[in-house]
Amino acid sequence: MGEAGGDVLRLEGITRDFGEGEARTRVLRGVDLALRRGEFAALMGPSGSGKSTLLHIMGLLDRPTGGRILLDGQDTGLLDDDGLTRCRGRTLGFVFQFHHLLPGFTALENVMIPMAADRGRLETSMRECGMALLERVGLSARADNRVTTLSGGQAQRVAIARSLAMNPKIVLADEPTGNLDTRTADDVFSLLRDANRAQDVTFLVVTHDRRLAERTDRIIELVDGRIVSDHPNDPR
Amino acid sequence: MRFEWFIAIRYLREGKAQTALVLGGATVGVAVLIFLTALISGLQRTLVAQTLSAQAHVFVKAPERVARPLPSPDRVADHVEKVPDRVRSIEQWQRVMASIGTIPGVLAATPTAAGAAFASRGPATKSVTLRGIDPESFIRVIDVVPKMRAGRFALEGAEAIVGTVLASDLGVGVGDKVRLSTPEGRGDVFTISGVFDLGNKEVNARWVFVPLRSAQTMLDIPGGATTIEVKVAEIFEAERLARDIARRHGLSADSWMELNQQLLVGLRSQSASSWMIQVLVVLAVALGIASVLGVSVIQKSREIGILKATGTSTGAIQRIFLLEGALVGGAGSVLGALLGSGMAVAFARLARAPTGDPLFPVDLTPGLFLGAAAVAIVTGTLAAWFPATRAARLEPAEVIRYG
Repeated sequence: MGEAGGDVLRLEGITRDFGEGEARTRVLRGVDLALRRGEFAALMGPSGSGKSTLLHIMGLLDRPTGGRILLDGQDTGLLDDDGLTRCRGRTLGFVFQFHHLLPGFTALENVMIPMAADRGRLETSMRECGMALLERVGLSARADNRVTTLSGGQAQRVAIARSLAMNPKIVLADEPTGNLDTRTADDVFSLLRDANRAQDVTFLVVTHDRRLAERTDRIIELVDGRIVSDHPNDPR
Repeated sequence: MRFEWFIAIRYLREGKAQTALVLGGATVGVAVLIFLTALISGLQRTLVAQTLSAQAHVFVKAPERVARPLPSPDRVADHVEKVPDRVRSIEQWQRVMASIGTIPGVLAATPTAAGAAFASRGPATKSVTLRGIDPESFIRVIDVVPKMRAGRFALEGAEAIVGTVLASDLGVGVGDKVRLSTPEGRGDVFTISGVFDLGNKEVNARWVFVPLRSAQTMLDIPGGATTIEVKVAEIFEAERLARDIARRHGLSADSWMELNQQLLVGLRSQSASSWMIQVLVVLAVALGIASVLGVSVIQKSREIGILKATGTSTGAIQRIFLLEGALVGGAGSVLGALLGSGMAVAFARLARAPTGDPLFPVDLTPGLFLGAAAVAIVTGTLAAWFPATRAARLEPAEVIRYG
C-alpha cells in the first residue's frame, strides 16, 4: 500500500523541459496528481498540451526535469535505468495509440514478451498465461497468427492483453481507440473497463473523445502543461 | 529458451534479406580464411619437405681454420692469407656424434666423409661429390630407400650408389662399373648397386654414395669424418640446435635454415601476405556485419523502444544484437568451412604438375576449422558491438513518439 493510503501513483510538482538554451521549452509546468487503486481515469486536453509527455513520465519511459514520482509509495527518482525498467515491467502496462506490437511475432508471443523479458527466459507456463489473456480479449483463435495479419481492432486487443500480462497495478493507455472506428472503439474501451473492474487495475486513458471520457470515473484536463480541471465523473 | 536468444533468432529469421547479406559475407570470409590457410600451409609443408628430402637438418663440420699473424714488434701485417681449406676430419668424431645423439630434440646422426671427385667411364668424366656414408645410420637421417629408382640402397665392399642424372650422363646402370678418383689422384673402381632420385637435379647429377671406409681412403683422412649430419624432431628448431652443438663442441654447425635462407624468406613473405589478405577479409566482413546490423537497429528502433517499455532491460537489448552478430558468425563459419574446404579440395584436384601429379596436398585440420569459427564468432560479436550499444541507448519515449 502506498504512503498516501490508496494512492498507487503520485506525481509531485512534475516539470519537463525539452530542448537546450534559447530553444528550451517547458512542456509540463508543475503537475500534481494522484491515482487511486482501482480508479479508471481519463486524461484529456488539446494537442500539444503535454498529455503524452505526462503519460510517458508516469510510465517511467521518460524522466521529469523536476518533481517526484511515487509509484506504489516508492520514489522512482532513486532508481537507475535497470531499476526503472524492472519497476516498469512489473507495475505498469501500456497500450499505445498504434498498438505497437512487435511485427515479427505472433499474437501469443507478443503477450508473452513482457513475462519472458522479466524472467529472462521463455517458460511453458507463460504460454498458458498468454492464452488466458487472449481468451479474455476474445482472440484465442488468432493466438498463433502473426500480428501483421490482424485488423486494427484485433491488434489493439492483443495490445491490451499484453498490457495486462504482468498483472500490473496501473495501465496507461495513450489514445487506445484513436485509430479505430466508433464501434470497434467502443468494444476496445469496454475491454479496458472490464479489466479495470475484474482485476482492480488502475487505468489512465488519454483520449480526445469526450464521449468515451464520459464513461470513466474521473476526468482530468491538461492545458498548456497544467492540470486545469480534475473532477469525478459518474459513468453512464 | 533464453529471452535474448528467442528475440535474436526471430529477428534474424524475419530480416531475411539482411540476414542473407551478412551471412553471405561471413561465409565468404570464413571460406577465404580456410582456403588460403589450407593452401599456404600445404604448399609450405610440401616445399620444406621437398627441400629436406635430400638434406639433413644440421651439418656439423670441423671449425674453419683461421690464419693468425705472429705478433712482431717491427712489422705490421697488412694482408693475411686465408688458409686453403683441404678436406679435414672432425677430431674424435665418434665421441662428438655420440654426444650429439643425446641432445634432446635430435633424432639421428650419421657421419659422412665428403669431398670432390671425378667419376669416369670410358671417355666420359664428370665432376662429382663423393659421399662416404654408413648406409645404416644414413637412412635414419635422410630416407633414401623409397627414392631408389633401381637397385637397392646398400654398400658392400667397392659399391657405389649414383643419382639418376649421373647414371644417364655416364650411361651406366645397376651392375655397371665406374671409376672414381680424387683430384690428388687416388682412385678405385666401384660397382653401381643402386640409382636414386632425390628430386633435385643437382643432387641427382653429383652425389655418389660410397662406403665410409672407401671415402676415407680416397680423401686421405683415415678413420675420419668430415661432416656429422643430424636429423631433428622439430625442423624449425634446427637453427637453435645447430648453435647449441657448435657452442658445446667448438665445431662449425649449419642448419638447413641457414643453408636455405631464400626459401625461408620466401615462406615468410608468403605467410605475411596471406595474413594480410586474411586480416583485410576479416575486417571487410566485420564492417559488413556492423553496417547491416546498424541499419537494422535504426529500422527496429521503435520495436526496441517497445521492448524497453514492456520490461526488457538495456543489457538484454544489447545482448540481443551481440547475439545476432555471434550467430551470424557461427552460422557463417559452418557454411564457410564447407565452402572453403570444398574450394581447397577442388583446387588440389585441379592444380596438377605437368606430369599429372597433384602439386601439393591442402592442409585441412580440425584446428583450422576451430580457429576460423572462433575468428568468425568473435568478429561477429565485436562487429555487433557498436549497433548493439546504440540500440541499448535508445530512449523508449523518444522512439515510441517519433520513431
